[in-house]
Amino acid sequence: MSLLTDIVQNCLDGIMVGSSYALLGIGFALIFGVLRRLNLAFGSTILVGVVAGSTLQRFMPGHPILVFLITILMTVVAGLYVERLCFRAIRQDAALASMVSSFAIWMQLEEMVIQTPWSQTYAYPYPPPFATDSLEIAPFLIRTDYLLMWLSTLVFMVLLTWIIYRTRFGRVMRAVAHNADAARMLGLEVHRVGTQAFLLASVIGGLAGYLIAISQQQVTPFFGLWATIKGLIAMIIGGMGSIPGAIVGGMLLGVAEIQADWFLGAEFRELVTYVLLFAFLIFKPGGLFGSTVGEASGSDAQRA
Amino acid sequence: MEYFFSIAANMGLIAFVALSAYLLLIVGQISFGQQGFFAIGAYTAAVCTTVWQLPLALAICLGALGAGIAGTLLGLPTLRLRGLYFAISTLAFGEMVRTLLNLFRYQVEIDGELIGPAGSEGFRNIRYIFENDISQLEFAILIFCILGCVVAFFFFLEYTRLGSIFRMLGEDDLATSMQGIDVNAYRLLAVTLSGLVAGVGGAMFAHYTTYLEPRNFGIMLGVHSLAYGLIGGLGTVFGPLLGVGIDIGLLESLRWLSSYRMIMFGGLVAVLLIFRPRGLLDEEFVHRLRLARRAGAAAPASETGPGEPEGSDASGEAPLLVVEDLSKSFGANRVLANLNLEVPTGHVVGVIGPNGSGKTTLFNIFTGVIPPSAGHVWFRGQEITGRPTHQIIRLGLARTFQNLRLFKRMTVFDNVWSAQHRLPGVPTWRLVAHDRKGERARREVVHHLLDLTGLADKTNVLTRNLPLGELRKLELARALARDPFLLLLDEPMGGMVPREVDEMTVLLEQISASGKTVLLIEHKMDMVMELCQHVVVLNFGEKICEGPPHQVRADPAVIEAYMGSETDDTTASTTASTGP
Repeated sequence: MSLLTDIVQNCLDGIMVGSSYALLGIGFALIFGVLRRLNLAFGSTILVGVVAGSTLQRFMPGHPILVFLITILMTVVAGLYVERLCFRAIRQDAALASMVSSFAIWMQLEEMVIQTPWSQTYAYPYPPPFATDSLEIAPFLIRTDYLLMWLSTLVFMVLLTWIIYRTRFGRVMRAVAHNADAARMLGLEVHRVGTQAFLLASVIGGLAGYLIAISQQQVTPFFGLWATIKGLIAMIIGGMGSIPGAIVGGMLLGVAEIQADWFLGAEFRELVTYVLLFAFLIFKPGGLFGSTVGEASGSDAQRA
Repeated sequence: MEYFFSIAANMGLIAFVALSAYLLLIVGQISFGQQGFFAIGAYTAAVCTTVWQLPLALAICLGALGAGIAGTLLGLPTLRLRGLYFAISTLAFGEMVRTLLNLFRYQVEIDGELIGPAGSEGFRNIRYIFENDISQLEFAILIFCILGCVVAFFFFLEYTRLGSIFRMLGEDDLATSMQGIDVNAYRLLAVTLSGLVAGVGGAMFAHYTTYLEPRNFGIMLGVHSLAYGLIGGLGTVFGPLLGVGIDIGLLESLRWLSSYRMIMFGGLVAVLLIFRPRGLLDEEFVHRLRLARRAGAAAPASETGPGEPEGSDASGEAPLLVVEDLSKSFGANRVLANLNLEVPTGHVVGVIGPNGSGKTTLFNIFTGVIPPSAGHVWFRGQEITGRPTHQIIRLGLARTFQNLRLFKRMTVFDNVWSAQHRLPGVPTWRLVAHDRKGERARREVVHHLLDLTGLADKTNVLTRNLPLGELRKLELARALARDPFLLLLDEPMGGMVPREVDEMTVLLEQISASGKTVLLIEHKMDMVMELCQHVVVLNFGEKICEGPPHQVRADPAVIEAYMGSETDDTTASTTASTGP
């Protein structure tokens, strides 16, 4: 019976943890969905935002809203830098060049953060907006900050669905994602839509960074790698470019991690992450919600 | 002095990983996981010398072997993955290796001391070079000797057929398989080789640094080694070496720069990817260098070849190609319906029909690109339905493409040459040989074909600089270089101006006069009527007419299909979709 309780508790924790992965995954999926290119620098743009926010908090404590805004603003600024250099400047069809370029910029941004005098590990970078007690429901425990993150994910999901399916901007974005060439011929500014998708993804990323920093209570330069890997895996599990996929993928990843942590030990947590990623790429490259198999079955797609 | 010396050794070690990443870049795969092979080589070799007390040479071999096997194991499941899917799967592989090393404990007590890898605490005391009195300098010389061998191997590879196959894979899978090459096998070979090379480097690294930690093999190492090729250039083996030189030799060694190294390095990569997407020493640069060198030496006199490429006029009564009840549907969309067709030896058969009537699909089925939904195809008496492309091609089939699939980064000569890598007459070992007699005869054939197609003066031009008409001729020459029994031509005159059409017609007449069997898809009706002895008309996947040109031209069903009013079209489409 206690085993079952453990499993259920792990699932609850996993879903809560996974909601942060889901937010990161959504950011990836938005950019990939519209541009059909992978932005590996996504995590490091969030790192820039989070470090800016925590630096502000350190020197001017007591302005939680300002910290929140600066986090998102700096993420957006870094995101637009990446968009200019790695995506707009490189031809639309050179997807691999963009990916490698974004990787190089990831290194660059990370190094910039490390080189700034305020980059040492910050403990308690953001005071949580309210007391973070644990909610106790029968035998289960739920951390309120996780709950907050989970609820924000839900809110964002609803908001995004509304933006994507109910607004003109969303319709244009879907058109571009579906067929960029056709959209261009119909007179849509594909570049601008790409920039807007980047903006939206950066805002979501900044928000995710803020929430994660609150619950983890520390910021290190490794955050960029961590965020990129988690977001990427969440998106690949769910299906390249699929937003509901990224949400489910993130939760699934969270649950798998917590279960591995609990039953196998903390050192297996990372391993399970990568095994899961590898397995999905090989056995289900389209992901859970992937409508198209994409380049996965490479030669076939090329032949068709 | 000591400092520069250690930097040089460091550069030598990193060059191994850079070269292994370069090999994969050549075959068109981006890998973020080369550090995994490096780590496997390092740990294997270190365990060999410390725990098992084996000699260094054997340890290096075993380390390389271990990494090579890991390469095969990674290559097998990821064969079908391309582009960023492959890249991400290698990223997962590299991190899997690192996290596994964190768990890897294998310690043995030797002389009262625990020796061996101890998980995340690392693998200390790899004291082989101290125990055997090898100085760091001597070991560094050893590193550079082995690196020299690897570089020489890569350099030599550029001049072999195997090297050419790797470059073909990097450009176009489908066109490569049309030259009778098993795409998956060679890509697997490339991954294995790249694992091997990185493994050798890892083995040297372990003994040079004398201790290993799993975090030495983080993803940064893989990304850097990938970037070296992209900075230095993919045209030659010296490209990645140049990349290593720029990064470690310049950025890291200048101390005042070193803390900003990553910032500059990242920026450099990003800017280069915009302006020189294939690096500083890219194919174009290497090509120009070769031309300059060749201009200095006496230009080799290209005499006209010994005559027509031999073979292929095997006269037989049985038709060369037989198609029986062939059908193909994509979902509910029926593209070919119960098609029967025969191509007699020595004939030129034309396949015509409106757009979307299933002509190219027919070629794709013949060449094994897509499987048919039902029916059979026999070629030279053998059933070829469902067989892999390279096997069908090797039976003596060659094709051109409607939308041209040439190797654009290669010269005109190399494009035609590429067709001969896997000819039935060429034994496999020739792939890695710098061959004299047989090779010269083959080169003569290439020159002869270039003469025939009027491309002789473009022999050393990069293919991407040719106009459309010459591209079509080049693709024809490449198909002819396979000396096929049956030539499949998919719109050889598509998009051509009248003068080019005339030239192509003359060329095709020459080819058919030499006794080649040709199956021709073409829209230019008068050319088809002129060239073909037999014409098949397709409409919505069904054969509506067949016979000699004059008879087909007069057939009312054909006129209707081409000129037909809209009502005719809709009735035709309903019959096609309901099927017989």
